[in-house]
Amino acid sequence: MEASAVEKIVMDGLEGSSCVATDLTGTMDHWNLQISWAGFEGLPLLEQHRKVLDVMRPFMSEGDNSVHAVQIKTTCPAAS
Amino acid sequence: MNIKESLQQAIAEQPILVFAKGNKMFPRCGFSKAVIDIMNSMQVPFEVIDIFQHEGIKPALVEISNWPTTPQIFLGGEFIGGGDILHELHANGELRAMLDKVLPTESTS
Repeated sequence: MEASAVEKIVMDGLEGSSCVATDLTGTMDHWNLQISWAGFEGLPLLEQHRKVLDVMRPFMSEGDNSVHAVQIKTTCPAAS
Repeated sequence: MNIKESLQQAIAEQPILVFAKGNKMFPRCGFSKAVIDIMNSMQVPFEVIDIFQHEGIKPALVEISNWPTTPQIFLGGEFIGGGDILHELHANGELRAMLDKVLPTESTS
């Protein structure tokens, strides 16, 4: 799957988020996801990651398995 | 006892439990290896269950933790997260206190 497609899945799933997907292995199925989203505000780390994985699930082992693994880094946008 | 029940028993009994692809000596995935390396560096007793031992382990595990990927880490019977979260807890220094809390006191000399 293309990086832009992965980023779109995240940004569509987490409305208003921004995402940068980096291919970890060159096989386009292991992705590092840097995600900034106001919706993470106040959530424990585990819940932040759950939100991302819930969005990615249809593309992982329980879905079409086009994404084998994701490495997640979540941040909140700086208060403007 | 079915697979899910035996996993739940292991989770309840083991203070520090890692579900990984591969085992402690031969992790078969980079993310699993990273978790095992962190636990080794913390010098704590921990158990690893290799999800490849039986095909029923992964689906049962996903049902228990509601987390689709491995590795998965349980401390004191509680699901902590995957490799990313363990890495972050290790990086920000929270992991040591979390491990000490679940370990029997005499082993944290």
